[in-house]
Amino acid sequence: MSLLPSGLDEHVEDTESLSRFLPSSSWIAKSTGRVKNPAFLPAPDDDTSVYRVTGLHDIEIWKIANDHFIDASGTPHKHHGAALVQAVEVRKAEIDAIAQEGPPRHANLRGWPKINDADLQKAKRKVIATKIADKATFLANS
Amino acid sequence: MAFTAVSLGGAACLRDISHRRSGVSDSAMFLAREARTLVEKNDRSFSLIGKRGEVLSELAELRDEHRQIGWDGAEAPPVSSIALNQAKELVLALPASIPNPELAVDPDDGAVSLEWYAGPSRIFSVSVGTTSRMPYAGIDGTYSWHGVAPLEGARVPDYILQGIKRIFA
Repeated sequence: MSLLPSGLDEHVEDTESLSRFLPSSSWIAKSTGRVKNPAFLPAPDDDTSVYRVTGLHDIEIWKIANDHFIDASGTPHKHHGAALVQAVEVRKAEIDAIAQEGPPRHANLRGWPKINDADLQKAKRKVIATKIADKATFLANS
Repeated sequence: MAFTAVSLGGAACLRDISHRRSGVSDSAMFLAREARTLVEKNDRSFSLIGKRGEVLSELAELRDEHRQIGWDGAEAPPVSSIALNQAKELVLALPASIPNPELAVDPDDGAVSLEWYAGPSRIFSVSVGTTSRMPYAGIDGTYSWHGVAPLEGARVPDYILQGIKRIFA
């Protein structure tokens, strides 16, 4: 067992809760508060950035956002809340959650399918993102 | 989708002509018939825009919120006017029986995501970007599917309609 600077184990357990901060209001369904699939699609660098938040109170989750969810100028980036999902749901969708500190508690969702046809690749990724979003819950930014 | 453009004054005039039954000449009857057709088309168009009006407003909001590179706090590309226009065309081409989609912007390519939600694990989504191909994906319980559909202007591809209908069945 290997510990990271944050004190968390290097391996992300299935039971861990992962927080995806939501920079776009469009990623939340206005009527239901449901999280939509683009929230979990990877960024152009092929990673979906999340934080490991098991056991943290809401205020501690928002502190992570304020400290580490920052834009290129180094200032906290506006977000509209967080999508919380268990790591096991990520693995059921056939990708993985890999710890990557950097910022304490940071991890990436990795293993997104790569194929030559960019549109078909996106379609495959949308299925995965939809499955994960379907199991996520929305935590409003209080 | 091409809409019949009729000004308010013109529409009132056409409606008046379309209701006339007094003309006895072939020309008068022809004009009345044509006017009725135009009025019906016009009414259908406004009815459809009314149903989709909320979605069209959301498209404008998407443009405002996602116009800068890095709107996600990283490197997400901005949503493009081409993607917004193509999404608008697709929305307006939806048959009236199809519910409005929920919109979002994808972080990987700035495409507009149209999503239909029929309940937990019953979701269908299509991404409209800058090309003429649309990646789509659906889940229905434990079954999932995906593919790429061509963008066909004023017509919604069968793959998309079937996907939406499947989750609402």
